[in-house]
Amino acid sequence: MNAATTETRPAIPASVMLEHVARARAGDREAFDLIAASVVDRLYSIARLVLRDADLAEDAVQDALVRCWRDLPMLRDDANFDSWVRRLLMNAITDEFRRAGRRRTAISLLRLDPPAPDPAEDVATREQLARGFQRLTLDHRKVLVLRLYLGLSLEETATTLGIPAGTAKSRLHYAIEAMRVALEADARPPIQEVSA
Amino acid sequence: MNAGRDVERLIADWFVEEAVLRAPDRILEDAGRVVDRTKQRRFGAAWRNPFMSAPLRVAAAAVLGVLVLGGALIIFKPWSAPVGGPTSPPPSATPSAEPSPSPSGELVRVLPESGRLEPGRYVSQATAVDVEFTVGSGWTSGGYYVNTDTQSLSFWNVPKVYADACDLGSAADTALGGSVDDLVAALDNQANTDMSSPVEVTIDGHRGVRVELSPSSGRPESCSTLALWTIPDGGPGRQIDPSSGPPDELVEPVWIVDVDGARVVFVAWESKASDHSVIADVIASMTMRKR
Repeated sequence: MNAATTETRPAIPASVMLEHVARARAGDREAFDLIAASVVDRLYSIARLVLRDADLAEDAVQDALVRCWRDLPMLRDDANFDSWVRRLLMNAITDEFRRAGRRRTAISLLRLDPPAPDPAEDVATREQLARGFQRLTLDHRKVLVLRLYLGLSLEETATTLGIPAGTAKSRLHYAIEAMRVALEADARPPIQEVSA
Repeated sequence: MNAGRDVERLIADWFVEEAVLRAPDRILEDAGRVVDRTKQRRFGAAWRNPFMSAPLRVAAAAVLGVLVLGGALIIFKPWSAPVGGPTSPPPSATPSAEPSPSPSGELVRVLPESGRLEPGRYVSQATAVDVEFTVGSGWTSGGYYVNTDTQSLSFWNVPKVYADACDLGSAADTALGGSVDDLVAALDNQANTDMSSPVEVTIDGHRGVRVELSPSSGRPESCSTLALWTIPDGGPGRQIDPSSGPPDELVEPVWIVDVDGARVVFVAWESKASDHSVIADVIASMTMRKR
């Protein structure tokens, strides 16, 4: 499915969002539902990219939303809601990834969405990217998605993952390097046997 | 293929193409059903409270049943065995909740297991040391802790320290002596937490130290909860959830005081935005007496 054709749920303006967060923090369920509807699409797109699996992504997002409701009273600064909820999602993704264990590779291969019709070269590149990404560790996938999909700064990425900025930087470097190697390896012509 | 930017651009473009921009409705529906059954962690200190083990939960339910059926007042404190000393019989009774006069003549109430507190003087009997203190308005009791929305004060009997705060299996091999210095050394050596330099303190004439513990920045990403120490039943005691706030709110001010050879530990947490004089006044009002 190419989701670009599907409408996302309307986002809540930042000032209104702050008000909803404050109300939900005080136990207002209606306000929480509005918040959840406002963030669920973004959380799902992140989870889906990192986990490469629809079911796992749904479970991770659902878990993150429940944790969000449960722990919202402990959020010290409502303005940090976005990074806080991203972090809840990252923890939920880790939990789901572990829970899925060895089954995940088979599942994700089965559930990969069919690619949209593209020129052959683009299709090949997408497949190379998918293979390279699939081989990355969960930590490296997360840092790539946060940095290159969400466009977070290194510091924001580090905060979201609860790691030092230096660690985020080295993970990003490693992940990009691993993807580059994967692309190059796929592009390299097969080794020819040379006979004397 | 060029390294660096070209690969980044390719990956970023691929993410955009691959991204599923609308989540299925069932996520919201399913989450809503779970949320319906989920209580918010309402009080400021709640996320730092120990999780009760299943046997304790059953015991607590039994106690609640007795309270409901018989109207008896039973206070259950599994964490109140003395540290490092002989095991005392479990408290089957029941400190009186009736006010009693302190040496100064002021009325002192035993901390109730739960509920909002009237301003006044209370005694915590959660450890081998009776700790009396005075609170103003806005405080709630959780039995072994009291809190407002922005402060909490919890009392701990610490038999063991986790060698690795991220590993609940790491406490079993950790022997811990009964002195203040023993506990400070164990906390200082704890993996995945950082401890500040100990500051000497005196409370009611008893000497001790104050340290600040915080999650180490180099902890594993998989470490979603840090447990500092156990309670006497072996379960985890004080815990920190790193996702619950910004790093500067995750600092645990731990006071460790020697009262005639008995060690009392309390955590006096306050939000950065709170009125710092409130918890300072509570600590300044403390008197401590070994039972």
